[in-house]
Amino acid sequence: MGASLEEKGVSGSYLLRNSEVSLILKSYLERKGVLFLDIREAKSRFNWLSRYVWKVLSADMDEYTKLASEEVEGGILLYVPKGAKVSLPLQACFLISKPRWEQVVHNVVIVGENAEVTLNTFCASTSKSALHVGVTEIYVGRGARVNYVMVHGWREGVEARPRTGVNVDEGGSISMYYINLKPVSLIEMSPLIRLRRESSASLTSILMGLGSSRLEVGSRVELVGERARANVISRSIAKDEARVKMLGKLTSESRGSRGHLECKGLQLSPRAVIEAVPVLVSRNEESELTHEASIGRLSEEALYYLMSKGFTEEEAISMLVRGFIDVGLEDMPHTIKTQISIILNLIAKYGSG
Amino acid sequence: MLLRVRGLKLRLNSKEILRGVNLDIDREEIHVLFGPNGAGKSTLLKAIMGIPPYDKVEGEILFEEKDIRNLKPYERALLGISMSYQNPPPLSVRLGYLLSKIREKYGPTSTSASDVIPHYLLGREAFSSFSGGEAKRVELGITLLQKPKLAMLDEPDSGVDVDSIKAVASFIEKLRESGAAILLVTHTGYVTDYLRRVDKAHIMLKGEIVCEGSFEEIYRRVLREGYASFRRD
Repeated sequence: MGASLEEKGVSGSYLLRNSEVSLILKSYLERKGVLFLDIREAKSRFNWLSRYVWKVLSADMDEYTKLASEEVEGGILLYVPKGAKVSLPLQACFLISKPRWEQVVHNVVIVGENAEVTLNTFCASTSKSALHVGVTEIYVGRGARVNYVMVHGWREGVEARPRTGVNVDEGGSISMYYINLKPVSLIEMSPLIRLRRESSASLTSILMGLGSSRLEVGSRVELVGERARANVISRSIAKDEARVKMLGKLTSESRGSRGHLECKGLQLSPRAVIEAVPVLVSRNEESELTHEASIGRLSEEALYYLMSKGFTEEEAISMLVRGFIDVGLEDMPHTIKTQISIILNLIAKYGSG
Repeated sequence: MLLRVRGLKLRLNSKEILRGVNLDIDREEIHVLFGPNGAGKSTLLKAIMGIPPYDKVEGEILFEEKDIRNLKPYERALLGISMSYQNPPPLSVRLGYLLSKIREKYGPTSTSASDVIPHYLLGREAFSSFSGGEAKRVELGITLLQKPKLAMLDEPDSGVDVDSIKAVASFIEKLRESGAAILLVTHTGYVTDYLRRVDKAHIMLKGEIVCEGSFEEIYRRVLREGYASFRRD
């Protein structure tokens, strides 16, 4: 789910099961100078890494970043040199199978000038009680392009506290796409994206709140460079007793920067709670920030329309949910779109019961 | 008889909207249901399709001799009844996805949807991002893909320009060629000017069918004297 176990259609795979690592990188990428290895090995081999690590996020940000700064059990370094285009995605899977396990990982992604890469990460647990702390730092070089997909498929009893920081240099771009699709005790995350001159970010979160899940997910985008662009989209669905909070903060500090924040929630159970907290902060009068938020239930008229076209009530709900979450994939590579489509179909099925 | 409606009464918020409607439609016939706004024409179509809201329904609705009153809308659709909405609701679903699901449900048709639905609409959300004419065209295209035995078309010629009315007429001809019987609701009758044949017309006033007969005679009278001339004393 969210990862190709056959490793077909991918450039490289990293699998961390608790703290054990397996890793494969296609040899032609090694010849291009792409590095894809365990972060512990990378830190011991490459002194230059210290120029990047903990630069976009502070190790003192909170107790979880502090934990990750002291000791990690895994994580990846992905380094794509200047001009290299990695056509097939790389994937990293973080699995927890031991009970009461605390998995603390640190990922560092460095993409050189005008390089391109897609990274797909998937996190899951078979353990009923676990903590996952994942620190990810992404450095997007000048004119570089990064697609970053993160899929969470935890289970009840798991707490996940990812901490992500992204710096996008002049003219670079990042598309981030996040999906949570299973019940979980808590997911708490709010990636920080810092956009330099004429760079852009497109951030999409699809949050499926099931069971007694508590999801507090958002993005903080700082438009620090002139004419930086950000588009942040959240779609959340809450069922059962789930509590979903969509957070989003755009801060503009530069002339000509533009940002849009969109939070939409679909409440499929009377006991579920959805909250949207969009925040806009402008520090430059020549910038433009907008937001749009709405929370509602499925339209009865739309349901009857689809039923009159031959669809059962379950099919109609599933179609409307699928349509609701069909956002943010426009710029993703075809292989990723296909995988994400399968996950979105699954969410639509959960949505209809 | 394909559709037989007998003594159909429907109440909504204690108000009688349909007051004992009788209607017979045989296979491959084209019927036109005329009536002013608020006569109950759309409500009749919805009642045949099984779409609420209503508090109480009385009377008979037989489709191919089978009582369908207790069937859900999707069961009626799968029996071969379709309804083309006057104003389809916004769905938050891309049209391409909706059409792929319709095709999955009903199988291939001799008429390709691309013949009738402009390609540029496929990536857009149905129906919120469509103009009035586009929505009518898409809705009729979906009806074609359903391969219905009975197609009920709710005011397909209202609020659209002359070119769109011609396009609507060509859809209706395609439906007729596919063997569907058609119940066409209109309060202006514009689209009938472009149809090759209409078998019968009915006039509906205040929840009742007050007159029925040859299309030519009734349409001429509607144009000449208006609906008031059909009022029962």
